Amino acid sequence: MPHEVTDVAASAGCVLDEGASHVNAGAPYLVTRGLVKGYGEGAARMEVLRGIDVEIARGEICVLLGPSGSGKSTFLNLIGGLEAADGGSIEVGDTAITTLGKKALGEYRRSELGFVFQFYNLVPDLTIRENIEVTAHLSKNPLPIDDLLKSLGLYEHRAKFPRQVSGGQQQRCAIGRALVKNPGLLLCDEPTGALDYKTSKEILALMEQVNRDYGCTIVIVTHNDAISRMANRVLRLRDGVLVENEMNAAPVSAAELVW
Amino acid sequence: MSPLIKRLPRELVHNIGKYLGIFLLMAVSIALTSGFLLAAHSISVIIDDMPETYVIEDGRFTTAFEATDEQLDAVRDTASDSGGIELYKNYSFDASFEKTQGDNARNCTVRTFEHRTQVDLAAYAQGGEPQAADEIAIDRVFATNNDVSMGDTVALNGVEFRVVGIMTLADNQALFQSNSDFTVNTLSFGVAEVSSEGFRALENTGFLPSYTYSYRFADRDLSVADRVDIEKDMVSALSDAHANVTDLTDVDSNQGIGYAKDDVSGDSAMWTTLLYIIIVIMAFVFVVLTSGTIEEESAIIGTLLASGYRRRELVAHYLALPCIVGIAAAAVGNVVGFTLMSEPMRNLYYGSYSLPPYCATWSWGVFFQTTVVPVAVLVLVTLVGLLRKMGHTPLQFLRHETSKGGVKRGFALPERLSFTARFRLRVFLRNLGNFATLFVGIGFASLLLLFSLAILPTMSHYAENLHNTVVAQHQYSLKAPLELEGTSDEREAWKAADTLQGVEGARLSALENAADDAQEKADALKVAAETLQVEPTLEAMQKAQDAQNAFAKSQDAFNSELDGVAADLGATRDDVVDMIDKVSDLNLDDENVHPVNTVDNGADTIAQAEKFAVYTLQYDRGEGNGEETIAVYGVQEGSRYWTDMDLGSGKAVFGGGLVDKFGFKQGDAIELYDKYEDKTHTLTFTGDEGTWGTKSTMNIYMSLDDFNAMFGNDAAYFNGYVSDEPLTLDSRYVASDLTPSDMDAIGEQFTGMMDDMIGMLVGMSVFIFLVFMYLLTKSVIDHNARSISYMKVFGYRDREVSKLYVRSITWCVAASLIVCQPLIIASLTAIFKAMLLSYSGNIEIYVPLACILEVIATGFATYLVVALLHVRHIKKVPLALALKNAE
Repeated sequence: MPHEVTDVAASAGCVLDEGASHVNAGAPYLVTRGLVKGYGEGAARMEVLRGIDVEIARGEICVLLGPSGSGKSTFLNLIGGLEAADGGSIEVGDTAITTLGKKALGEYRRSELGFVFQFYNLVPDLTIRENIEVTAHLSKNPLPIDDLLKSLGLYEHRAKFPRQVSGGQQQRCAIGRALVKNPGLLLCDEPTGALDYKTSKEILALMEQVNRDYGCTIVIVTHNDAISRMANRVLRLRDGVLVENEMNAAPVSAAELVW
Repeated sequence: MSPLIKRLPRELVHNIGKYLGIFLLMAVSIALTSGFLLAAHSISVIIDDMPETYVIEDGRFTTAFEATDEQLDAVRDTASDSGGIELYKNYSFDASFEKTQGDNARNCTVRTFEHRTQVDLAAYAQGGEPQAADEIAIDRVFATNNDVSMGDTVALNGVEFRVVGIMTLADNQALFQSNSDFTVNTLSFGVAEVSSEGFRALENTGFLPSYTYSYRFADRDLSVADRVDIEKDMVSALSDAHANVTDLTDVDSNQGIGYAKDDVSGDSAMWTTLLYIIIVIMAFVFVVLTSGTIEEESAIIGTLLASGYRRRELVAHYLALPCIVGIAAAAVGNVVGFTLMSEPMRNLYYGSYSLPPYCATWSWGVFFQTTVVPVAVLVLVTLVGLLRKMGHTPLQFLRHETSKGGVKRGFALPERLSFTARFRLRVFLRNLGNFATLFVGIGFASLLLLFSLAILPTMSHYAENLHNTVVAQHQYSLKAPLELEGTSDEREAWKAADTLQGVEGARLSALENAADDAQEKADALKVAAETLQVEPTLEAMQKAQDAQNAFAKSQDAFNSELDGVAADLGATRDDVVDMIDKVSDLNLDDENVHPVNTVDNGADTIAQAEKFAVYTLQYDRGEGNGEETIAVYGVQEGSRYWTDMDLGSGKAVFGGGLVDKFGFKQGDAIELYDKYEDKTHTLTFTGDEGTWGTKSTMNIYMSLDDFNAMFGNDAAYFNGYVSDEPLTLDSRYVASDLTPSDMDAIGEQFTGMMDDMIGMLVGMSVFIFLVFMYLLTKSVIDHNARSISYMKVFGYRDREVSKLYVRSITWCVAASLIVCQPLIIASLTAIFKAMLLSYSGNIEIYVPLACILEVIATGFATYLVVALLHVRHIKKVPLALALKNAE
């Protein structure tokens, strides 16, 4: 289920510009019902998620907050089809993730998802451009890579290897790698966790732009409360329970974030 | 095309040492194997073509004395129902050989045939067939080993011949002096052909030839079973016709004809197996190295899988380089093998076997074996390893949960161990896979090296054992019993009989007829004279006169025959009469009365000589490994030569080699087949008490009385003497004289045969050591590069870091080298046993301590070179590595 690129992005070839929110107020895009996940057996069993019900609209930026061990990453992994839920259901678009087999989950990730991790996980012996090509290769209709590189501010660095660029540039590259196949859902696990303040803000601004230009739904897992201010929706987990699910009436731009 | 493919050339360049090592090892192994297999295939084609091109016999039999026409007709009759049989006289002399120029370093024997035109034809490498009385064509390998060239003059039993041909005899592709020998003897044994006149010249030296008759069945499609049936009938027919058959060898059991092909075929299997073992080990090396890479790139793999990459796409990616390296090595190896290696490999055989001129023949089978199969094996093993390694979830990759390293790292080590010891132990545990593969690699290289180093001591030990098996300075085999003791009258009488044996058969028959006729006429004259005395009539007188005339005529005829015989013998009529007179005293009809040697060897010499009897039986080795020819000896109880042997009362004593080779257990009933009589004899093995000799003694012993009873011989039968003093025996009775020094040639032969091969194997072993040690230990250093960098950041000096890491590796290498030795010796012994089961004899693998130490020293010296590289490598690990982001 490839996501439709916004007219602006499609016609302008990824030129990022200011614009209105792309949140689709219609049918929810991502829905979880009674999501349960635990680890271990018997007395050692630990319930990490205890019945999470969430609805996220298409094009939303959703920030998932919570202390360590609250179940944030597990929630992200379940949505991403990296782990199987013990109970409950997940629907992304028209697809019921929790009913998919291993192979179908792979296809789901291939067509629908983009992942960004805290530690960029770039292939060290591929250049910045080639790292992005790696996932472009998976899409029948990838975004133009050079345009994407320009919009990511990496065009001048495209021939460099990851070790030759900064952490922020590596994370930009990781975001580009996730975006190039034009995914419907971008899942970001602590995307700024390894970055300094300035670079973190740049990356968040980039995500904001990406959301605006490509209309993809973004779920950001973070420890950083300040980031919630740029989200359309804020979810807060504590001990596997969803303790907050708020819409942000007036999200601020990433540039305005302070922490 | 996946963009990941762009990584491949970079990875190749980045780890060029690793891939080059694997490539070279594979390419060299494939080159050697393809070169060898091509040569072996070409030689097999040549050998397969020989039976028709060079009219190879279907078999041969040998009689103690020249077979009569009646005896040969009896043989022909046995095959009359099966399309008939053609018999060919294939007489030969085992002549002592001397070069008239240059050194005669060895005592050589050359089996010399009269030039054959109908069967077992010669293939000439140089020159042509002998035509004049003084011309000889000589075997190529023997000629090479003894520096004999065209135009040289050589002497056989003192008769000089000029070499006009260097050739190969179809029935002597492998030079076996005796068909039951363990291996060929190309140094002191050869074959040759001379013209008919040349052969007569050899006969005139007083030696008698070996009376061998080769045969070919008219029906070329006769089954083996039918052929064997006829051969049994042939032996029976000869025995019924009073011929003494000393040997019958079917073409399939003639080592001179079949050994080279069997050896080539066996060696091909061995080379192919060695190649595949190397390929499998290389594949494991790939698995280990790729597993390391996968662990290193675990997060990337997790990300790619999370991003939608399929597992098979990533497996294909990691499989690509092993495939490329394997295909490149197979291609280069085959090109080098087919173009450069085939010739040296051919020489391995052409130096040992006498084969017609070489002609290389292309083989798709060899190409498949050395190209498709190695690559397929490499890819398959690597693929299985990769699938296993890649069988994790994306999350497990992202969390670095793909190895058991965590478990190993968490393993509690006793605190009483020093920090350094614990650290090294952890390096070992963390890299267990590498060290396990390294152990296998070291084991394999050590096996090759130990085999190379131990083969000569083993063969020398074998030759020494055989040397000891010959219990006296001379072991004379006789064609028929010949007594050493006797009066001078008896010696004279047997000498006369022996001399008369030299007269042409027809002339002797004529003399005998003339004598009978003269006797008849003498009787008639006597009757006529008596009649005349009683009735002195004219008629009676006439009759007496006629009888007188007839007698005189018959006496003239007798005298004429006597003169003929005398002329043949170069003696006078009186001498012949004297001889006949002496022979007439002999009782030739009693089989217990044996001829007496015409020469008196002296009382002391006769006293120390000892009679024995020997006969060969067949033992089925089982599992399609053919038959072992076992010599059964009848020896005197309390023998001074075969000592410490408890004989008599039907007891059989088994040679240690038989017991070791076939694993006989106490109480086992051993069935031995007599192919000449079509009978089976059963002997019981009585355990240690019934075992004698070394592990190379392949005979069975019993008392002479038991021997004669078992084989139905007359009580006084024997067919050999053992003697520490040389005996002068009537040549027509002597089949062979075996001395301990004959056995020493085996050691020398093996040194010559194995020299090139040993050099190649040692080189290969060192190369394998080098490649395995470098790849697997470098991988350990690479895996720990970040930790090494940390150590440097903490303030460790390069030397201290090297001590921690390199010394861990050093201990593992040293331990592997030492621990694998007993395993290798056990493997080598088992491999040897399995390999030799289908060969004659038994070889005990003999590994002197020096060989083991040499293997360990070579392995360790090779490692030191590798360790130096690692120390340099550790110095180059950058401090910055520790500062880079890593989860």
